Amino acid sequence: MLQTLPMLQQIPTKTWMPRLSFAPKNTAPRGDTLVVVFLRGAADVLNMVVPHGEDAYYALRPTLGIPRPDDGRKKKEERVVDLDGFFGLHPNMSPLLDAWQSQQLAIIHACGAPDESRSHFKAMELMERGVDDERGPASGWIGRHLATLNTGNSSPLRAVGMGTRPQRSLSGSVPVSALRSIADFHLGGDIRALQQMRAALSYVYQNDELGQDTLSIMDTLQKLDPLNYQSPITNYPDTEFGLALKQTAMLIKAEVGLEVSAIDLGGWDTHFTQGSLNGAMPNLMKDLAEGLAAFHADMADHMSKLTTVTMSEFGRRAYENGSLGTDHGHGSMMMVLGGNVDGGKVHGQWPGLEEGQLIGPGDLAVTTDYRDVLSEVLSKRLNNPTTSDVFPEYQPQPLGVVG
Amino acid sequence: MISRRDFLKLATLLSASAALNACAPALRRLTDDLPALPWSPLSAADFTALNRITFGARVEERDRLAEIGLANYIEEQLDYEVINDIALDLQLSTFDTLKMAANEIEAVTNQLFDGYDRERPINELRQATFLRQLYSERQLYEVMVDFWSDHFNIFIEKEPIFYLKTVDDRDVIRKHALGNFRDLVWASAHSPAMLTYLDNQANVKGTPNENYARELMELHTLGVDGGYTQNDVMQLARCLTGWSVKEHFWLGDFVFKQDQHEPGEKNVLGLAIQEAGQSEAEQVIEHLALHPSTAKFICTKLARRFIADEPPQEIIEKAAQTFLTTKGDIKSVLRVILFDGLAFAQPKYKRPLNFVLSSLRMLNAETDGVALQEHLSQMGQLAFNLPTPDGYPDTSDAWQGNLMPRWQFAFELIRNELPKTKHNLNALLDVASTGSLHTDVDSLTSLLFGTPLDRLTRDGMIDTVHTAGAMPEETLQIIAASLIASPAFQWR
Repeated sequence: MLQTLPMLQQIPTKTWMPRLSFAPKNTAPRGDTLVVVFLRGAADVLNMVVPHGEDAYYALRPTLGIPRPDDGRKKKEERVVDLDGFFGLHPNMSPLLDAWQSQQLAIIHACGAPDESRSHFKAMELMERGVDDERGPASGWIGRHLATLNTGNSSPLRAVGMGTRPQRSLSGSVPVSALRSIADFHLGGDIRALQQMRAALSYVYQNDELGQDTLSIMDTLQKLDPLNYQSPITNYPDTEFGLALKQTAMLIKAEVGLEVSAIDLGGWDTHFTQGSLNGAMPNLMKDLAEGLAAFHADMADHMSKLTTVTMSEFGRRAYENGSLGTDHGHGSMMMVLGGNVDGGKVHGQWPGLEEGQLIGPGDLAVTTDYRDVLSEVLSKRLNNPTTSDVFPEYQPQPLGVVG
Repeated sequence: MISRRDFLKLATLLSASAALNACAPALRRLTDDLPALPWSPLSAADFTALNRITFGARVEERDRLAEIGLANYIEEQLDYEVINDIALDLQLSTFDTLKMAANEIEAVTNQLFDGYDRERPINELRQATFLRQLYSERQLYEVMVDFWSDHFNIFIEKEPIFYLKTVDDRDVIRKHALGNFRDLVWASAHSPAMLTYLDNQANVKGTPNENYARELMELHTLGVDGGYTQNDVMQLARCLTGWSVKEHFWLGDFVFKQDQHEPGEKNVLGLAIQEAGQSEAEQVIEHLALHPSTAKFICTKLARRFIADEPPQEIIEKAAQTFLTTKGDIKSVLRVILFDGLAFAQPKYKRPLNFVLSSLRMLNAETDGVALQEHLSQMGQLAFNLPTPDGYPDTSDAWQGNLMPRWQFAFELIRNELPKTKHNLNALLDVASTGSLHTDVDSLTSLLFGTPLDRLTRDGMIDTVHTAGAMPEETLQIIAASLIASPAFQWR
């Protein structure tokens, strides 16, 4: 057929956009569904999982610091919620306490990437590709995972990027569609018109994988009857993030072949009046924690086959700046949520916040590479036997975050 | 009924008086604005070139290119000030906030006054931007305005930028889009919208805020690998302390606040900067604007926009050299990019804006520009709506994978279902074809792709739509929508 469609087909698939199609290296049964939440803008993790046992934290953050769990001068709801005597959650993160107490939430602190550019865009690019510098593979780490592992799953919904552009991490030889709203994923018109449109689109996209996927996703999603879908959990936040999680839950329950869902939560670049207990950043934490808690409750029956990871491109400066915000820093934090997580525990080695322990202009050091966490999740929970193909430049150190 | 050409003549005869303003149609003539002559096929190279210089080639633009040749066409477009755009100016004359100072716009949106409307400046700016891209005869200029709007991206929803961005758009981006890069970055650095967006109004002595200082070097001038360090960021932030925005009288204007400025000597990129108030950062800006790393960074981005995702290094080097020898003259740099570079053009996946505009322009559709905004949002490229300062991405791979909103737009457009948006495909094709479905499809594909589809593909498509049960009068509509939705039309 290719010869008969030079005009419509050669542009994306034949000459100009070669897709590297190769047989996946490994075959394995499907493992967990992976949900990757990227906190874009460099989240201020020191105010999310607070090292309240560090005097230096309070010295560095005289106005932004969150009061200690036992600070009798403050109201209880204004204090850190203690986790283990040293770390505690920001009060707005407390919806995650249930998951922590049921040992389904693990935290890896002082976690991050080696890059010290302190540039959002460079750091995100490298992290989503899973590489040390620009010379590494151009595809994304999730894209390479999908491309190297045959799970016998040919669903066009094997991986989705929630939003209007597929995340960089998803790029690779397996085409991935973006999905903003399941309810809106259809063409207008009556059944007759729809048939005609479908036939014409199928014709012009006959040699285009992404186009065929889009048609097939349209059919699948319409069968789900999204407008009448009722989640048993009604307290998802009414935000794009809440919608993305809710739709992920819906796709998992509908068993449409979802293996990876990539979700963004943006707005964490808090240079200016980020707020300690109220304000822009506490609102983001609320969205994050309430969303994940609702998802966790909604997916209670699926926890044994579900792992959720949160990550951010880097952390923020340990000391607050003059405008009640924080500038770009280094070490970050990851959370792993799921039924097979060594949870209720802060993993990793805490480097400390004292002078001499901070790096660069005054930033939390990185003691765990983010790829240690992701490799372990991919190999133990998603059955990928060669994560060296996903992170070719990196020799991961197992942490024991997932079982 | 008058044609566009007659309308232009009429408009030039009269001065832009209030009387004319009153009758300037918000929605232009819908159906009678047809090309005078049928269009001829264009070579692939010319069609590609035209779709880089414009937001999608109109019939008149194809004719003009065929008439004077590519080199003359580029020169004509570069000399944009002499291109008559009065029909568009008239159309925009009712958008009052475009001409206002920041404090006047703030008054429009201030709840203390009657008839306040916070959304008005945002909506007028978005609508005007779209109408300019769609209707302006100064297409290359508008393409460059779009380029710099990404390069110096500002998120209009961050408070209180909704009344500041209009001024930045007019006095920074549009004023210098085809001027001098040094003037452009200088104006941007003094722009209250930019200073607010990147928190420099909060950059005060003692504990500086690094946000703007970093992006000024990383995104606006040197590039992330341009040779600056974290220490340079901190030193430039110190220079920029006190660069702020007026909060009371002349609200929204630039102000340098000496009392917030960090005293003492600074050192940025090896330059020792003596204590000199506002001029400290200005010395650094002069240095950054014409730095070799800046030349390379800007020329790489321009080449990526006009030539290919991975443009040839030789073109970048030559353009960067021109950037340095002309001290940042944007037109001279563009001449290198276009004259030397267009021959190396590789297909680029249309960004949503380009997809929507090229559909409307090639089909000669008319719109007031409102209904398209929601579609652009669904596709992921609403103007001034990107929260991060890097601008919407410009590489093909970033935009693939969100086809459904493009398909929805294609069908709604062709069915004339978009509010206040109309095409008259049949009348347009009547200019060019004999009226048979086959010649209509040929004329249409020539319009959309430069040359008609080969016969087999065309006939296969017609058969497919017939087999699916389309009535004769529906067939052309389904085919037209599918062509706009097709993979080929997603590329330019």
